[in-house]
Amino acid sequence: MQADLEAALQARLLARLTPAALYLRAEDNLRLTVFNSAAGVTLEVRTRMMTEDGQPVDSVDAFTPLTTRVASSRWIATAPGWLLGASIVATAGAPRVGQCYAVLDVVRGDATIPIALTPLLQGYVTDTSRLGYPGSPIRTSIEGPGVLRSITGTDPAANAEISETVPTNARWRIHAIRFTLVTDVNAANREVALTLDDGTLVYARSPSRVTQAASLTFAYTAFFDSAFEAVAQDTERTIRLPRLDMQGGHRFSTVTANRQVGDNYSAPQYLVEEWIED
Amino acid sequence: MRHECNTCHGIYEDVSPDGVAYFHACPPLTAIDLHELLNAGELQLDVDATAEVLRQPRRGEQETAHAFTRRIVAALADTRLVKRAGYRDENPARRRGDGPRAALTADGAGAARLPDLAAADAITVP
Repeated sequence: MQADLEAALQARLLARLTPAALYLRAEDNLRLTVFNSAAGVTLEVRTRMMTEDGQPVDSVDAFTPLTTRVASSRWIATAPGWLLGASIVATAGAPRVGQCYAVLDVVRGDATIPIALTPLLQGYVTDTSRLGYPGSPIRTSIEGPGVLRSITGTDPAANAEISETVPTNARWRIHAIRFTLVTDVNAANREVALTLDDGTLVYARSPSRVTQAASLTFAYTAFFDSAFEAVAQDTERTIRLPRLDMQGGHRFSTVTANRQVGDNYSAPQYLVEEWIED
Repeated sequence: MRHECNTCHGIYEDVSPDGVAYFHACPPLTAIDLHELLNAGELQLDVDATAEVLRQPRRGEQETAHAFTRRIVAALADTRLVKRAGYRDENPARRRGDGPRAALTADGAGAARLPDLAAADAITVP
């Protein structure tokens, strides 16, 4: 009994040597929540605890998050004592900033209905940078630059428009979009515009301000600083793109005035900066 | 894997070259699509209800019922997202409160698997 008391006192004194040591009660545990889009990612939560009887305990818990940007979580049981440090490390995959957003909380209760008490870590984990407690700042998922992605969209059928949707739990800043339009033999002056909507209502439309007659193939590029131009001998066209951030469910689409039944768009290739945003 | 949407017949890869999942969603209908459906008798508008929302009387102008309908359709397609029948959206559905999350936002008519294409490598001229 006396020895137990002495051990507990010693543990308490040792823990005080680490100012950030956080006391966890028997009913306290840790929960890792991850929003991830990168393939093949495995995360490890590595912790250092000092138990109430003065024993240092290291533990490693691995977790494979979903790749759909929706939350997936793991509950990590801890013994009563002092949490001296914790880190989140990507041990597999190559996530970049903007792709694998992790939150480590102290929670009260078991895995069924945990109550989040204290966020310990919150930020992006990459294959070259990790999160560590104490030390790493608590960051929101839209701070700083996101991941740059070049995406090939859906190749629409003839007589259909291009339309690309910002994925659920993502935020996009579109830097450039490129596609071609092949017009059929029907005589009509087509005019291509880009339209942006929130999934229900249109909030921006940017016309190309040039027409494309029958039996022609034009390539269109939309980007921020483009000027409207129409060069007679050229088949390259530009569309001014507003500098906007778009949330999950928003979309960009083409709208073609005088579109004919055999007009055919290519799959769009576009460059976006992407963040996780739940 | 390549797929063809059974609703809009768009063709897409379900994983981008960077390994990130791609979620197809059918394009909305434009004014031209709606006019085609109207002409084919496949679309009927509740003109009275729609006109109540979008009424923009033109002074001193008699408008035929057909022209009036076309104007309403154009206004609808220009300002709102008009989804096609069987609309497919492969994005994970957003959760409402603590309720369960559906796998897809909208199944639509499904998608068919297509044969994979050879990888598009950079072209090297010997």
